Amino acid sequence: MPQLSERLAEVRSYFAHGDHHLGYRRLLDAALETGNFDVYRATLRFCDEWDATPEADRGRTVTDRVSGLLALIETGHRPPPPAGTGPRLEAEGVAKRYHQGAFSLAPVNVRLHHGQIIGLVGENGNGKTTLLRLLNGDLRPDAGTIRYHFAPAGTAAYDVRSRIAFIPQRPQSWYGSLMDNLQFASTFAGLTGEENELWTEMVIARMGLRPYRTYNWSRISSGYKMRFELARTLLRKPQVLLLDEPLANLDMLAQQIILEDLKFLAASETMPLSIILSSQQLYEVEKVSNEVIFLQRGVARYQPGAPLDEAPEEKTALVLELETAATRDELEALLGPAGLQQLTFNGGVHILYFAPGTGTGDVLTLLGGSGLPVRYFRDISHSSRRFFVA
Amino acid sequence: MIERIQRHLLTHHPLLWNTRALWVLGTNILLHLLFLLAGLGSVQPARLGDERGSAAIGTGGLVTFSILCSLLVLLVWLLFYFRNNAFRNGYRLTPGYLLREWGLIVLIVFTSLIYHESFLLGKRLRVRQFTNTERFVQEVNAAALAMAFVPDEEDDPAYFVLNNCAENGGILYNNSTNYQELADSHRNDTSVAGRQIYQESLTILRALQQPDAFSYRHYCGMPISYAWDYPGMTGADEHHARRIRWIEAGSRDSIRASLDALVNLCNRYGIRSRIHTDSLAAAVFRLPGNALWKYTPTDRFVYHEGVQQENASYLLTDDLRGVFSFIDDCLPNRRNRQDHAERLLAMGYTAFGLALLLWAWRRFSRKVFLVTLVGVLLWSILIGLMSIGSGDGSGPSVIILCLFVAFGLLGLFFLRSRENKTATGVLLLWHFLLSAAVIPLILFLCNQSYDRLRWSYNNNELWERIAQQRHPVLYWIEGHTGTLLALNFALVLLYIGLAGNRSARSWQPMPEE
Repeated sequence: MPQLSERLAEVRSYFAHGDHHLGYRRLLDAALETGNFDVYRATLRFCDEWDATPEADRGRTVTDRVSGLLALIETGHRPPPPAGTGPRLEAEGVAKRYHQGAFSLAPVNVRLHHGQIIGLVGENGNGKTTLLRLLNGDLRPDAGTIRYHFAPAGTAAYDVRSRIAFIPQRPQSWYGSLMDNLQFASTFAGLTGEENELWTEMVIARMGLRPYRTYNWSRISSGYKMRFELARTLLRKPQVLLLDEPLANLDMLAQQIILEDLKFLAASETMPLSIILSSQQLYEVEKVSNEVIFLQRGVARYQPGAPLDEAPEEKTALVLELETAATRDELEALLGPAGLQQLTFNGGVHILYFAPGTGTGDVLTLLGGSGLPVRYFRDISHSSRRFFVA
Repeated sequence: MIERIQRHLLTHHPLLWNTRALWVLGTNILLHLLFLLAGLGSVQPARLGDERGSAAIGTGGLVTFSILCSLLVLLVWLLFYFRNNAFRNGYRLTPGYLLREWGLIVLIVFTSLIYHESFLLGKRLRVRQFTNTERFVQEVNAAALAMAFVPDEEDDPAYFVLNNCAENGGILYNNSTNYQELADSHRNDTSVAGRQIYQESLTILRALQQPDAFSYRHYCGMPISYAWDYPGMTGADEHHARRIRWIEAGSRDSIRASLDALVNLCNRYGIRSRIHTDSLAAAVFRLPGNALWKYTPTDRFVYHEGVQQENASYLLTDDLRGVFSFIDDCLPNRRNRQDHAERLLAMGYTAFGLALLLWAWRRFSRKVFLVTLVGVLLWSILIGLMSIGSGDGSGPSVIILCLFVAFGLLGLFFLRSRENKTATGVLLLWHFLLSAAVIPLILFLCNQSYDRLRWSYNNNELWERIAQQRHPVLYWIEGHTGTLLALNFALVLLYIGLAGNRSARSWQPMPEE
């Protein structure tokens, strides 16, 4: 987790290089982290100016105010309380068999720490939602135990559940304006009066929802509905966030923004969220996750190197994904000497399995030297992608 | 302004914001005031007679209008109230939040259902303005005294010669009975009752032969009577004594003055009448034995060969009685207070039932709510069928009480074992829906036992003392049923607010499968 000074330097750098939008978002992140309502007030004034300034003029006018705001953030920053150690949520051997239907989820182990993101990948009907619902307490496990370490023993079940946020693939519709709903959620997190107003406005700004404050459910797009849910989650200040297919039905840009938001939520200094998200967007999930669990027909396979990895022998094998016009024979001839042990072709890409100890650079050198037309290359040795192509 | 208040409520009092309590209760206060004003304005003393003075003034249309207002207010309120549900969203709730929400639901539903009561209150207040209890007593006394001098039909039993005002009315005459036929039919009847009927018929037939068979002297009826409800009401015998004094003393002036007072009353309340007080006073002394000879129709018009004609004299006595009955309904007396309390209690229970449904909808899932309702319908039909066969209703009452306990225990068991979420919710909801009926059913059973005991003692005069000594609990319950029913309202309110909400809070995070 970067220190405040590093974060602020990053913001300065973005603005200096003209990356205004990124700089703006990071600035809001830094301001949010202060937990200081004076900073929030100043930041929101800055946001008003930002919104009122045409995009072309932002570099010239608004950027000048950034330094002042960053200075305020630096002075107004309150050190967060020490984060707890150990996992927040722990599931051991959790299994589930439905009474109706043939599907069953084989025992799964999950250990979710502070500020950690666990990706849950797998094709449809392989148990992602079941696992998330088990972790949320919606379903009763047939075997195994789930422990919520953020709640002291004896805490009422409702109170435990109120500290877990579960966002289903299709979030429930809500009524009234977006702003009213978010302020309502804020009030239950203990924020009243002006503090409620400022905190909610800050989260709305961070989630890019400012133009939609007065909108209702039917007027905002799927991407913003998901961001609304994230904003509501943030306002509720839960300990654990479970997301079921948050990237489904979103365009690429919306996916990137949601993932970036998740990273921000998990990396928060003052209230780090522990997140488990399920998705079929493997690479996107891998980008933000500390750990990935792959579910195939209800059986969990763990990412190599992960604490729960059950297949340590695979750690050192090099697996590459390659898209090229070269034939199988040409590839075998070229890469055989470099330790190629197995080559599979799934119709679009070749999957190349090399002997342990083979380096990615060696393979790239051979490919580059051969002059073969390479259209796509990816090292998936540590990616759950291996499970999809196996 | 409204926006500012809303924002303040949203960020300080989310419950008030969510329930829109401030607005809906404000609207209700306004509507109650309007209904009260409408009630005040709906009563004009001079129009009471024209409107037949009945207690139904404005009630029919007003009840419909009041129901429409209630529906409108409740529907609009629900549209806003259903927008947010902090409990189902899993928000962290402050202690007492659910209890307060429940209390507000009951308050809002109750105040939205009783607009009509404000109208009635307005009516009552207006009536008390122009006719207070003392005046009412005076007017009823005056009317009751005077109406004896305004006979409306030839053979009015109230004037019959065999009437005895002092001794339980004497031999009662019924002008729709053919006493000759009655006597003939019992001539050979040897039973005690048959002989008595025969003798009485002969006596009446003999009396009817007298020229003064129907006379002002014998009148001991009570044309208008509220003796039980108001101190100071003159009784029938007292009126009779006074009339006899006047008749024997030949006091035409007193009789005329009494009739003038009646005319004034009619004028005051707009009761259509055409009474010639002089000729009516003179009529009392016209025939020997003060026999009746002049009759005043009780209808204004008479139809003669298809043509409507106004009678030369008339007094719309039904209207007069109706006006007094209406005023009586509006005055503060024990009977009226009891009626109002019972009506409010009934409205309270109706509101409570509606609030309970709303509570169930807010606290449990749609599935549980719907299954519960279908279940309620089914076992209501079953219990209804059983009660048809059981006669006194004690069997179904006992079954309902047993179901209440069984549903509660089973629901609690499932709740603790965290098994079967839907069934648990349904059992708990059934238990809480039935909770409102528990004390009324226990009271019903107690009162039934009390009645059975009373009849076992042949309902004799000493029963009260016996019951007090030997069955003090049943005696006390019988005497305090109304209070206990009102108390039940508060108890169940608390039971749902505390135990119901606690159960819902435990039920909500239960795993589904």
